[in-house]
Amino acid sequence: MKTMGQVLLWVGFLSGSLATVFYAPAEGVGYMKAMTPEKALDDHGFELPDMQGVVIPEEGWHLIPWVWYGFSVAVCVVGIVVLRKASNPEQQLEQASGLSLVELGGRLTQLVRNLENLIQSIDELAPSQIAAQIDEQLADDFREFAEGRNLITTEYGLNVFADVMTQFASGERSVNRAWSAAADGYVDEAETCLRRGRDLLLEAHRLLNEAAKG
Amino acid sequence: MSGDSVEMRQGELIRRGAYPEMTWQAIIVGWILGALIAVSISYAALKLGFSIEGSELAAILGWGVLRGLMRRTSILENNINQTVASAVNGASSGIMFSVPALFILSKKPELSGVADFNVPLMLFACIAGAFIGLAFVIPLRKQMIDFQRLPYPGGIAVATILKSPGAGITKAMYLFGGAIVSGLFFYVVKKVLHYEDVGVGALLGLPPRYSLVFYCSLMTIGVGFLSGKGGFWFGAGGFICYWLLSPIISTFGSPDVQGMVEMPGVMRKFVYKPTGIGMLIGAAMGGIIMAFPLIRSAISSMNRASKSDSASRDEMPIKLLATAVVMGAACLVFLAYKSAPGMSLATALLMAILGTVWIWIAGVIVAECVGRTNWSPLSGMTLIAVTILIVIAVNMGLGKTETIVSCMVVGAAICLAISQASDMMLDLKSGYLVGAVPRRQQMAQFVGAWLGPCIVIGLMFLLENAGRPPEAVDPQVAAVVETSQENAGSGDAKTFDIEKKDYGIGSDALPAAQASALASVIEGLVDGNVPSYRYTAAGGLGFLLAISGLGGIGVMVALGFYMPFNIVLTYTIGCVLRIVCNKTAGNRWAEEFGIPIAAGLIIGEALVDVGFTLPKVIEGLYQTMMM
Repeated sequence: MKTMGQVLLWVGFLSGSLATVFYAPAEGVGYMKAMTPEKALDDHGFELPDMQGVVIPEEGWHLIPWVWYGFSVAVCVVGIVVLRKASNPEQQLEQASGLSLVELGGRLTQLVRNLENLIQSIDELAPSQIAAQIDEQLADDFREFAEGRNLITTEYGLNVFADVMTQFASGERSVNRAWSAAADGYVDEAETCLRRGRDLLLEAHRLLNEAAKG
Repeated sequence: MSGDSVEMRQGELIRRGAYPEMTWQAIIVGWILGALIAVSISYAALKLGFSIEGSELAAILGWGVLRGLMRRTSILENNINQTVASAVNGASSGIMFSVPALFILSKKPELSGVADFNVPLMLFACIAGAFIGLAFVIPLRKQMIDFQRLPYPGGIAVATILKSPGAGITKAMYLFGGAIVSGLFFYVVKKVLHYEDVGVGALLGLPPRYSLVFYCSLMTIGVGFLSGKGGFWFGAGGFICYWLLSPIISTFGSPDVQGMVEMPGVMRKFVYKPTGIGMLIGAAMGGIIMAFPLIRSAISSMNRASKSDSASRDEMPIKLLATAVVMGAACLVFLAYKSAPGMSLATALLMAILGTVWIWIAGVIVAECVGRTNWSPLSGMTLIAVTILIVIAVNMGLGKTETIVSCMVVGAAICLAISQASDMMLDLKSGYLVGAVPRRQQMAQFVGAWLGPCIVIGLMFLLENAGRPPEAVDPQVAAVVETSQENAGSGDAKTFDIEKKDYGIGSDALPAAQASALASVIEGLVDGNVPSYRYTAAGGLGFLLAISGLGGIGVMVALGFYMPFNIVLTYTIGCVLRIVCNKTAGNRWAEEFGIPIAAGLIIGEALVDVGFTLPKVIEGLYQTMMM
């Protein structure tokens, strides 16, 4: 069913596109005629065919074959309906990201744990080491959670998704700020931002768990 | 040096105290750099017909000025500097692609009055437009950057520059290595060998309809790499046009269009580009409808968070932005009403309402296109805005001159709004990656947005008037000159042909290609020649793709129709490289090394390009002043 939906969608779209561009506007033909035969080259220096005896079609709305176009649109609409009915968004997203909802929560737990470890050891690290640890210990989990984020929408709806992602994105931005501050040597700011990032990610995790409990 | 106190830990400097972000130093350096960049890029837009995004240049210059000369020590301070500078520069493309059309049209005797527009009103329109665009797009930050996580390749490049001092020597070497290779390639291929494209199709003996021509630009490959697999549908749009539709038409189409497909440039100009514009509008409408629940959730989430936690402190209050939109719309009514004699309040109201709605729609389209591909269909969106306004004005019975002037005043406001909206989102993406507070960056954008129009409009009048002969300036002098010429018969008195326009904007010295194109379109529109049939048909298809549930493919495919295929092809190389890198070397490698190299490719070409433009700007300004 899904394949059929895809096929109908694209056949309809391509057929509609062909109907849309099938007839040339008079000004385009005039422009082209003005370029031949003395200037029978296009922008890239290609030789043009002989344009003698061209027919200039009637201008305006008659340039679109509306029956053909309408049929194409109808096929496209059927394709969209079939596609939407056939698709299982949750399974699709899981395949795309390779993560399940449980694993998504696991990424947040891992992020919080790594942040906690980094905060514990921050006084012993040089600023460049703080930035390096952020890159090494947090980047992959941030990316993987982000790639699988749409699972939250399909399972719990847009409001939960928006609330979780608000906290997650603010947390990630806070960690990015910690990286910048560490790179510039501002260790106090780096620590404050790491703590804030941890709190925001904890909140994201809490919201996700709350949604799971219903 | 910034920071309250300094000490050493494991051989490295550590600083205590507040981390500098939105400082006066950053704002003032941003104003100065922004003004310099805006003058250069505005002149380039008039002279060469294209504009360059100023954020990368501002970040690099800011790095040198703030860190090198002023001994400042904050990545985020430089981020504010580049935000202010690019906000100032946002006026260069916004104004130079639209307002000069009035000077170009004024050379026609029947339209000579269009250049006598109210300058303070135009300036006010540009500033008001910039503010409305920002107020509209700021609430979309959460949806586009936090939720959809659009890549914004230009934003990644700027963030890579900003972070380069702390990213370590290896990444910095990749960044600067990429920049040097790209800059050298640009210099050798474009400036020495004068190659723009490589016609692979001709070498392989393929017919011209396939348009297998690659644009010679490592920057474009870099942009494609940063877009990754997300850029696939952009390429698909181009391939649909030139590798599917054109061959079918060449076999089954009518004789006239069969000839046209063998001229890809003509085919794009008259068929694919208008189709792309229509499709973009349809896709944007569909996209807005589909994204509406998400936008609503984002705004409610912001409101919920504002009552309880710290995440909301980072955002500008929605009520403030809504007030700015309402006040901006009221300003547009005033501007439209005052823009031309004979304008009725009803016409002004209609123009302002539709103009405001279009700012929102076009702002979303451009922000999404820049977010996914780094290309902005600004000129296409401005064209639609002017089309809407002219249709209203003509149907409400305004005269030709009044129609053009009023539509350009409101149209310039819309163009500035769209330009600022896309720049804001790009800067907010850079800000996200370096950890900037969005609210501060948004304030920085407002702080810079008013200055650009003042500089660019001033420059425009300087260039238009400095070389103008006295008889073209003062009608009384012109009458005296005319009389003396009549008296002199066919003597040696110098005659001045206003239609030829051998001075200022529109002359051979300052051709203003984009504004000239807009001027010719305006003439056609006033005479009732709009390809609305193609916009409508393509709009329906774009709408269907947008609501198909296949992500944001509608806008991407539409942009593939709209853009020249040589750029699409080169861009596709970058996308394929990223996909191959991710598969073979892994995501981490692509992010650690691929992104700095790709960012370097973008920066190198942009800098060499600007480097070649600067001497022309100085020489051109000097010659203009001397005339």
